[in-house]
Amino acid sequence: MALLCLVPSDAAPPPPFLPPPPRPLAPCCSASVGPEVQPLWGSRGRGEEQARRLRSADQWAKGRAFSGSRAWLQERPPLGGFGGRIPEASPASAAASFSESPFRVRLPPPPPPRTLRPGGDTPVCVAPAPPRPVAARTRRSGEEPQPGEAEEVEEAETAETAAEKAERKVETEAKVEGKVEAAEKVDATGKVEAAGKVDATGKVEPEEGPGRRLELKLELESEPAREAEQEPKEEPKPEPEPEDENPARSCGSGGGGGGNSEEVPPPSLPSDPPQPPDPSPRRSRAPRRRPRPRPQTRVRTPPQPRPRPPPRPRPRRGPGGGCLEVDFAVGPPGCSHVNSFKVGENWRQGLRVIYQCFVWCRTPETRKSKAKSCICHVCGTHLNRLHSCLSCVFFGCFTEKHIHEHAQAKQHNLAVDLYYGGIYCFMCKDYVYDKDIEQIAKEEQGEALRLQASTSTDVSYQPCSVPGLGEKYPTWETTKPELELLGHNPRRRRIASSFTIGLRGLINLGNTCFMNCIVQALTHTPILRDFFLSDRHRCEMPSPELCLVCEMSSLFRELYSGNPSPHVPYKLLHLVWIHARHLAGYRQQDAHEFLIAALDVLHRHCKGDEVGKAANNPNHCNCIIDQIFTGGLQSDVTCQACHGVSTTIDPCWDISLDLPGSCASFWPMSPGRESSVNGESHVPGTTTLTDCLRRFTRPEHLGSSAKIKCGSCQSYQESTKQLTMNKLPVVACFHFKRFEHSAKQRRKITTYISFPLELDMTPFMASSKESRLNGQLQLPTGSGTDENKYSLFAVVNHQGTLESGHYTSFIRHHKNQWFKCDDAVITKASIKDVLDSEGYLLFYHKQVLEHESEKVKEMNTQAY
Amino acid sequence: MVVSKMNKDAQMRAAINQKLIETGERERLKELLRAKLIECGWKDQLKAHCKEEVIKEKGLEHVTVDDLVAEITPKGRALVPDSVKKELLQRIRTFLAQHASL
Repeated sequence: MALLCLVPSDAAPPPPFLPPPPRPLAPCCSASVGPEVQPLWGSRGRGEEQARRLRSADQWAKGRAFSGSRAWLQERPPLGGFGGRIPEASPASAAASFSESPFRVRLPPPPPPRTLRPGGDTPVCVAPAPPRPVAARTRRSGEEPQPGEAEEVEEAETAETAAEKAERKVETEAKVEGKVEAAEKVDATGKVEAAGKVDATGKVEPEEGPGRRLELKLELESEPAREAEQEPKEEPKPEPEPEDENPARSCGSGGGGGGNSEEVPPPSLPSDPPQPPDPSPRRSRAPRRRPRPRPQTRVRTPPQPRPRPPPRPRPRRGPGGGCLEVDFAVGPPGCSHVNSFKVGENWRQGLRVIYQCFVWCRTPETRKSKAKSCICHVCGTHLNRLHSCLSCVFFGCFTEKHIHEHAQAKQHNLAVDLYYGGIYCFMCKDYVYDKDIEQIAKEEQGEALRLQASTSTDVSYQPCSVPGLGEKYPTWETTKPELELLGHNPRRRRIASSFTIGLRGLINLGNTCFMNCIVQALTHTPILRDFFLSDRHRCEMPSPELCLVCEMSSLFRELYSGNPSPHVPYKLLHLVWIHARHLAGYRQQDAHEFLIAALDVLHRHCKGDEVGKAANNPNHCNCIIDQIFTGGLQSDVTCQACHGVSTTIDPCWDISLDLPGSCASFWPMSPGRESSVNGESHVPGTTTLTDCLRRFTRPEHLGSSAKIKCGSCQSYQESTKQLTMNKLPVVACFHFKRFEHSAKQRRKITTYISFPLELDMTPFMASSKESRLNGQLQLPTGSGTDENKYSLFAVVNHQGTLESGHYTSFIRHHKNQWFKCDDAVITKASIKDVLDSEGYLLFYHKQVLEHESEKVKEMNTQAY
Repeated sequence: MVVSKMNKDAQMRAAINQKLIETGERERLKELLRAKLIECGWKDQLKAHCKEEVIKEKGLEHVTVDDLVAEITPKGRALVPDSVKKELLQRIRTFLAQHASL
């Protein structure tokens, strides 16, 4: 669970920097694909106060941070530029005026009970009410024999720990205000807490081992249910059904009745006469020590004719059972009429048949029968909200009330909607949500969807139907741990731009600055950050401890934890050594090489491929790395004889650009001309990134010594080759080839290349080739599309020589702030610093992210 | 058992529908449509509309599904983006072309 708000912060030394007021720069892209996790962090009051304090103090000049010597380990590296550095002492101790981290959350000892008044406020932190009422723990004492209850209570009480008591109190309150949902149908997480095992006879058995599982179904639901609670009326809401689920717990806390009785009465029993809810506003927090009356909590319907057998130990359904012998065979009903439906022996089976045949078909046979038979028996339409009667074979449309007529005539009260599977009760005149039926429906639908997805061979469908929509966009239903977390952290937190969450130094473990820089760049890639912080990684590796993606996930958690002390990435380094042997060791390495190796390993591990055996088909890989970093580089080879063009598209993760002054370079244009395309610096004579890109995408004569065999001419001909971008990645990495290893010389080219804050890649697209041939490189004015526009968000720089040097990086934070990351030391930087830096690796992020559906179109068109 | 009150048009529609169901295409199209509508924000728009207008007006307690259907259907239909309509139509056309025996 990657809920960051729960990472307990260590003794938090303050972060060593101070963010100044934000500057009015061009905003970085804020569009993101994944859900934003941020609102859970930060502390509103403290952060702002701190920021104020710090601004006035203003202690942090830029560049103050470097301390310590830099002695390089001198070794002869084979390739690229290298950087390394002896780990320095912890810089976090650098004095800072932060007295504490703006973000600190700890799991407190037993939380104070929240004050929940009947009908009162719902705590802000509460999860959105799930679509149907989640069973809360409630007393099931209705099913227990009455005598001995008091004893149970006391034994149960003594068996509890203080923490549990507190939690129970919290729950008690929740329940008092909330509805009493029988916990008997414990939901999928199905954990039942028992102070001790209490079976139906009322004896307390010793608790099993670590069996103290909390079932926090804090149903702090919305207003309506509460109101419903308080106004007894006829409503087709799920009726709490007493169930012997948790007598022990019920003793301690008990289900909150709709009545706000002091004693939190249990839900109604069939055998109980209906009683009005006790209107007392008091809630008992003390453990109950005497038998409680059992008024019916919700008087909505007359006593239901449920033939419930007397409580007896029955095998428990649901995971992790064993504590209690309870029967969950019948859950809380949607309404009394549904209840009557659920009487028969085989109602489940019958219902499943209906679902499988008429609603969610799995087999071709059922589909055929559905196609033929599912039409309105009155008017023959297949539209108009067709419903099927649950008691007989009748289909009627809803809109024209044909199904209503049938219900009236035959007194068949229930019908199922053939489109969505909901159950409509004609007596209650509304759809009813019966827990059991919903469960069955969910299963049937899930199964049908799974089958549909797995048998779908049409590539164009796959991005949409795999995985099933239910999995893709599931409704959030809180789990027990989440409820706990929300309970412990009720304050809403907001990230302000003065917050430093996300900025954290990385200790140099011995010439690992090359790795640190790439890590900083990756962890500040907005779309990647969103992916990992929403916990979207599901490990596929056979051995998860070797999974680099899991380690990335954990790195994100570390860096965004709010902990300002530098992180020691030893596990990452270890994994890198294991999976990228050529980068192992303490020698200085090339950052670009590390980037490519890391992306490769991440890509492989996303698919569970440990050793790189699986054939990689980047066109069909859907891993997050490919979605973000993979672009399509189009190579067009034009035969000079017949002018036929042969096109290939290769996936690429980055673009390596030659620089002027290198042996391999060929610069037809004088640098600096037309550099205003992307708003780069106009200093004449300065090469810009755009120049480099232009050079990269120019048509190149391959020369007579490199003739290509032309398919149409069937002979070797001279040709020209041109590279352009066919598909732009979400994150574009540019690599300047500063390290030259030609026969003539080995050196680092330190020419300054000017690069822009915003970049438009349109002129370098394959689709722009024609306009370039005509000499226009300028973007057509009023080109409405922003889809090729990028914003700079990270720069990796190298200082030193080819043999040895040091890597640092600049990263973008909160849209407009830049920070320099030098291993463990992070300092504020200005945009000028960034743009004036030499530049070795540049990271640009798309400003506008297109829909997946658009991508699907793209994929489709490429295939043709 | 079916009283046939349908005209040619409706018959054609019914036949197409049958074919769509038999081949399972209808389910796929449904899923596709769902995904697109979520991705383009239609679902959220409509949900907001529900919350703001309908429920506030009628009160959460008294709203029935029928109310919602009556209120939301026209708005929902109007809000579907053209691109989604086009895409779905295209898929259906392709499907029909493939099953020309219809």
